[in-house]
Amino acid sequence: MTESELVEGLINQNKIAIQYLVDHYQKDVIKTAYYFVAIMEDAEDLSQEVFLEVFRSISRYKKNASLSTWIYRITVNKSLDHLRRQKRRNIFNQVKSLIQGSNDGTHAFSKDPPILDTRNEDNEKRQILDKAVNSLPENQRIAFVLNKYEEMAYKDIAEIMNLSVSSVESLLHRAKLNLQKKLVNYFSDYA
Amino acid sequence: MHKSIHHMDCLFIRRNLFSYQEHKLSDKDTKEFEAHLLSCAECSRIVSEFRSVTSVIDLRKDAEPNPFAGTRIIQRLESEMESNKEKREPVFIRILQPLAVAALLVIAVIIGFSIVKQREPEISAIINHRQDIQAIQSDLNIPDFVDEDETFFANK
Repeated sequence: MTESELVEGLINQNKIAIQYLVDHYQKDVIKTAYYFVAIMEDAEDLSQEVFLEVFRSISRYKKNASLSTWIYRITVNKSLDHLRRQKRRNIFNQVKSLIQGSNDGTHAFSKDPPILDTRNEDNEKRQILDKAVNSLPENQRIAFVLNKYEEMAYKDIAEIMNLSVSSVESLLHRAKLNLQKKLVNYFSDYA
Repeated sequence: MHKSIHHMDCLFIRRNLFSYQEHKLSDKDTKEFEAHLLSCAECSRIVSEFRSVTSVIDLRKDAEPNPFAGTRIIQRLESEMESNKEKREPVFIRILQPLAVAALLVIAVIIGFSIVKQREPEISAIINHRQDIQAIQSDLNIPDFVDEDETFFANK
């Protein structure tokens, strides 16, 4: 099935086209979402949102970018929205527990998983890296995740982010410098 | 340009962790980098920690989604299609049905008027007939109908 046939089929709500779309893109969508949100179940739920969005707005899809680029864009946006919602929820919970007061003697902010207390070594490393990556400015984070996890070429990242290749290079350079700094500070603090 | 081997310091190491890991340093700088690690325990520890933490990236790449995730996506899309169909039905119910009822009413009124128009001579004949009877009654001085039973019981 060619891309234009697929788009046409989706506009007409053709079941074969829908099946093809899901078969063809689900793994990439779920994995990309997973690289951002770090929890597979959340990534799978997000992938449903992504395909729903693709299905609902396929008639507005403009062919100046490939379908896969467009789907990646939706995936990245949905993932970042999810992280923003999660962040808001965390802040709300922290404020709530501050207002309610913690009578058990624990500090309200201790709800953040204590990185060094984690028994599982891989889990500990994962948390250190996620924390550092999530603290990067949004554009740097997108460029870093797509390049390091998704192993995308600069040109493809540029297309997804709607930037020039040189801007992506610069973003990645800054992302790596920032990450190194954060990680080195962390390693020095917890030596 | 990176600093020469004689001036390579801890800062250079800590600013080039990714470059070293991705083999993007020149051969000369790579040698200097590794030589520094042999002489600096703290930088050596940091490089090792850095390598260990960033290895998580590869671990995450190996993660596989639930094999039923695709089925769930299809189910969600199908339920979306169903709800789209349901959204289309009320358009018929809310707009077309009242329109049909209004049209039927208009047709009924028109038919009613046309029936009345057709029977107009008959109706006017009946009205005329009543008027004639009243005229004869008044000419002959015939009183209006009196219910005799009613007057009989009233008198009793």
